[in-house]
Amino acid sequence: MSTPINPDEAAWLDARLEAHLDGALGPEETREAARLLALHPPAQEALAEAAAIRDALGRIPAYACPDHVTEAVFRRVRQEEAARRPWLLSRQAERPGPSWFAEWLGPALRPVAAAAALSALVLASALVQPGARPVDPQLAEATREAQWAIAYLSEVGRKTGHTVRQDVLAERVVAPMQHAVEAALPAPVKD
Amino acid sequence: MPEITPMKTLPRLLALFGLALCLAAPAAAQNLDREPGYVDLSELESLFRAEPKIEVNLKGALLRMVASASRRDDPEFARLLLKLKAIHVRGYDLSRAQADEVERFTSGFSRRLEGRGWETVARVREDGERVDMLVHTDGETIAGLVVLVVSPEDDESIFVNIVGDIDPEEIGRIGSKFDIDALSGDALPRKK
Repeated sequence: MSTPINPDEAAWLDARLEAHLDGALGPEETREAARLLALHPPAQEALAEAAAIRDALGRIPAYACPDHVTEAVFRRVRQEEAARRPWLLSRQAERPGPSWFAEWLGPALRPVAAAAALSALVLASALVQPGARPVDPQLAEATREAQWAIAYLSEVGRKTGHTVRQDVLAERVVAPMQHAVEAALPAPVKD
Repeated sequence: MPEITPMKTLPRLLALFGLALCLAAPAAAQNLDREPGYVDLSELESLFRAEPKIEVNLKGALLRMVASASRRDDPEFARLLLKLKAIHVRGYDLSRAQADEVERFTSGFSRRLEGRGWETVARVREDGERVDMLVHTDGETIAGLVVLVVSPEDDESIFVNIVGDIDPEEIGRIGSKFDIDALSGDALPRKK
């Protein structure tokens, strides 16, 4: 079926579908992407699929990645890089990777895995940068929940601090909480 | 004419997100059940015969992501979170008819924890409210904190367990910075 948008427009849209889904495009690009999407059903399908995948991924619990898998991915990335640019990564290329991983990965997926690992590194580094902010709604909600829980414990500690029995642990637990809260609060104003 | 190829894009997406999840997760898997400071709050559901109205389950990678995301705006809070392994909260509506049963359960729950090495550091009954605070120590450090609040006056019962390297002074000081009333408004982590 012929589409009413030209190949250049289709390529332009393809390159921006994921950013469009994430709301990462600027206002002009967002408008243009929306206009082209309306004209191009294959792109609409791709967008719907990407949205479904994103939603499904959001529900996956974060399992710990076994160390040997992480190391194998990085080793493979280094080998691929070294093969392409030996002058840059010659030392790393000397380390052989496990054959099972290479077989499992397959030649077709190696560039994808390399890109994926590097992108994951960027993501991971973004998470630990001082400038990182909780832009993801789930992360923002989790932050709020953590704040609420700590605030609640502080509140309970402050209340119970008045009547708690004074043994060693009480001094270690409730009293420090109470003192910290009282120190943080402004002094009462006397009439 | 070049076609948009979701079949090329989607595996890439999957690989990206899968590996991102793997790499963002801790190198060592956390098995909370084995943590001395962990307490399973799931039996509360059978007591209240209902799902909790407040439910917080923060642990592992998500907890560290929250800490990382908070690092710029509140480094002190971020440092506190980085020392924790889990935060669990359950909050239930408490009817007057249930109050006695829940109080009995709380007494039994505290005793069971004491039997497992926990120590009650505060037990307060005031104005109809009951608060039990227990800690589990690991050498010189506090590895777990449990707070059980039964408040018929407020028609609610709240149970908290935090696991990790706990500094009560730090929790008291940092927690006092947050406006719990504001957080308890629309933002209260109530279960949908």
